[in-house]
Amino acid sequence: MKNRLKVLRAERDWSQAELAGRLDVSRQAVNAIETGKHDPSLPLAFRIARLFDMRIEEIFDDEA
Amino acid sequence: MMKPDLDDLPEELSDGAVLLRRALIGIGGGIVLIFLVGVIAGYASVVFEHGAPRLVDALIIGAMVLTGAALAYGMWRLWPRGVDGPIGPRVRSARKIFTTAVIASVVVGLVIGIAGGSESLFSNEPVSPGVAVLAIAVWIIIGPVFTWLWYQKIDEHEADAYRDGALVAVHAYIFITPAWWIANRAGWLPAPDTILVLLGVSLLWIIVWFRQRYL
Repeated sequence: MKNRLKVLRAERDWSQAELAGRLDVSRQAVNAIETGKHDPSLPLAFRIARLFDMRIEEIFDDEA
Repeated sequence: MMKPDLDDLPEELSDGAVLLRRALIGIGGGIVLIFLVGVIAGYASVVFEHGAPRLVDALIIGAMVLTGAALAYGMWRLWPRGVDGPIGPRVRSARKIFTTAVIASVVVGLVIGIAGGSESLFSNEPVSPGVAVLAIAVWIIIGPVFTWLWYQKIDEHEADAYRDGALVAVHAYIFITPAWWIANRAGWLPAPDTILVLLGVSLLWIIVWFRQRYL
């Protein structure tokens, strides 16, 4: 699944580690989500959306 | 305009590079340190068996201790910190549990090694009941408890990698064990070695977990 996580993170000047710390997941998890190797669970997707103050569908694209 | 991605900067080590360097420093330095500790213990025991230590013996032991300390300091300085950063409470808990389990394993291994004397767990030779009770207790009580606690704390990506590895491992076990058993009955292979199968499927589990987690 495609997502805008890397762009959103870069816009805030956050490293992967910093984003991982804010989401309470490992840096590898953030990297895997950004590269599309791991689709986050619904609870994690909601945490991501809340962190960026956006809706899930504004971050993740299930049609890609 | 999009700001530069810090994680794409070339000076940052990749996960694989960090792990490789940590493995080289940890294993290489660890082996030398263990060897040095053994030499110091052996030399000291010989010295004390012959009465009060001479000044030259004390100096030699002191030099070896200093060498060990310098090596440990060098390992700490060279240890690649990689792309680590702030970590959340869950991830920190998982790391603490994992680290505690590794330290406990080393301590228990040393205790069994010392208490068992010439008995080795890494062979098919008989072991005394005391060593057997300790080893079995660690394996079927402490091991599962640590594993469960750790599994409750890891993030979903690592849990996925862990489960993928387990799935491949259990299928490998299901396919290998009966095939070996049949091959033994046909006279083509020796009797199935359960520990060899365990090591094989465990290795497979680790490889899949590592690939899913880091590559």
